[in-house]
Amino acid sequence: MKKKTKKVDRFFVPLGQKLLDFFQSVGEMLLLLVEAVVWCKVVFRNLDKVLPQMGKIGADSLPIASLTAIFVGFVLALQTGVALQQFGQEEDLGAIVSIGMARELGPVLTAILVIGRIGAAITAEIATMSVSEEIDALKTLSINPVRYLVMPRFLACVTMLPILVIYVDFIGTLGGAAVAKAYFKVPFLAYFDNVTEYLTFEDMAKGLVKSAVFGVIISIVSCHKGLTTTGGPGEVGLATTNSVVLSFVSVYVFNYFVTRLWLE
Amino acid sequence: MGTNGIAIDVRQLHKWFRNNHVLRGVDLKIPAGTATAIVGGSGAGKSVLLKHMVGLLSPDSGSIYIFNQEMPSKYSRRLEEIRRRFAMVFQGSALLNSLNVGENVGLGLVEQGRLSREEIDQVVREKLALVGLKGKESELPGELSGGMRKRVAIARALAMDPEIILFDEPTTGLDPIMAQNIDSLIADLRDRLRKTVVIVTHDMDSAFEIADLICMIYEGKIVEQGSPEAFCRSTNPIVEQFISRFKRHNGERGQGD
Ligand SMILES: Nc1ncnc2c1ncn2[C@@H]1O[C@H](COP(=O)(O)OP(=O)(O)O)[C@@H](O)[C@H]1O
Ligand SMILES: [Mg+2]
Repeated sequence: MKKKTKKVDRFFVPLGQKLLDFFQSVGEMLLLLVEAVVWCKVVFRNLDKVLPQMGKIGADSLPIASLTAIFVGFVLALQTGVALQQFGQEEDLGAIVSIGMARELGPVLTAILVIGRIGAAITAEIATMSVSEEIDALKTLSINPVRYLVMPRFLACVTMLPILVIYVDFIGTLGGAAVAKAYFKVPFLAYFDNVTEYLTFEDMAKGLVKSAVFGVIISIVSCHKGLTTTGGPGEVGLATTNSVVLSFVSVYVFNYFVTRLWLE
Repeated sequence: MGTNGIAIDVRQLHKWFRNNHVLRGVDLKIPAGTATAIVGGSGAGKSVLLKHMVGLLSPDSGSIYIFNQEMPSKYSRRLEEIRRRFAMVFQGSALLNSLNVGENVGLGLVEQGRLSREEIDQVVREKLALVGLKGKESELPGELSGGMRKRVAIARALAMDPEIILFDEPTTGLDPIMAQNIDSLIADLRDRLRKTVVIVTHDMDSAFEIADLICMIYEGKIVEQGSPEAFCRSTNPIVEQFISRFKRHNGERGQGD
């Protein structure tokens, strides 16, 4: 009998601990978000930190974003083009590719790229600073780490993600146009006529709003994981992996629910 | 002033990290305008104690008074004000790797935004000269040796013009000449600038050289404190064991003369 309760304990106690840790992290992240938003009031005095972050996010993501966008545009046009051809509807490729990019593929693909390219770098950088006591050093210099480190990254992610998404949408649609012309003999003019006819402002706007929220999620998760890293340099790698996984999951879950909400 | 000349007053400080009871009732008074050394083996909790003094860690029980003001346990404007009286030199220097030496030293002042660019540059030049690193402003921390990084960290601490400076193992890992230089720099801070200095170290040479008061931490408590002479004569077996190596070494040197 005694043995049995012990076994149960061994299962439930760590589980309970994990759950508590999880809810504590969520709470801390929400607080961090509030703090970051509040510090935005001094953004103009801190442009020296915000602008380089924005530049870095743009410059670091642009090559991989271009490559991804163009190939996704190609493939999307190829796959749907073959199906549409059976019904002689190739000229609708413009609508399908551009709406697909604007509503889902643009925001989600960009978020994935930014998580891998920027989120991981943010966590690694801040975690390294945590374990080498640089965060403590900032505090003793009366520098608030949320203002100095988190707010600039938060703002940069929230503003740059939508901008990247516009770019990715555009490049993807161009890629679709190239395939439509090369394989399905749809002239550029017809393709873009079709785009402008079916793609609505609402499709674009919803995608951009979504991507701004992805920016919030990625920056806050990445900064939080970095700031809460303790121990030695070995912990930095672990923190980075955890941060990337958590960002992915959060983005997917949020994306699913918001899409469902908007479809209703 | 009503502070009885006590800069930092630690009362019954306890700290746990999960199941690790690191500090087990530390009582310690650090007199203003003097140099106090806190010695102890590695992992004894010296750094943890030091971090409590600036409010980087908060006590699980007990309290800390800075010039008779209680240290708040949560981040607040009052904590910021108390922290402004402090500077800390970290064990690993903790320079920001993305900034050059000059920017690191001026960082606190730039972010404070009270002084002009020129005034800040002036302070940076002055403090770098003080630690013997004149003209090294544009070098990156990654290009410097451990001793130079430490001196940059000291310059960064001095730039804030603090009343109390905390040093976490300032001479560990440095060659004897560099260690000597840093020791005399610290002694200077107390003698000429009248700063209150707290040095955490396990280098007994430097503790005996600069400290007015030596405290030994063992198993989470202060087990002995006193002037260097009194500390040397201590009959506490833990202290005796800790300083036996130092005594033997100095004794041998004495015989050779
Ligand atoms: N942030 C922390 N989280 C968990 N344990 C810690 C932390 N900081 C210190 N410790 C533990 O506290 C003990 C004392 O550490 P420390 O004060 O760094 O020792 P030292 O006297 O060498 O400076 C060690 O056992 C260390 O593992
Ligand atoms: Mg230490």
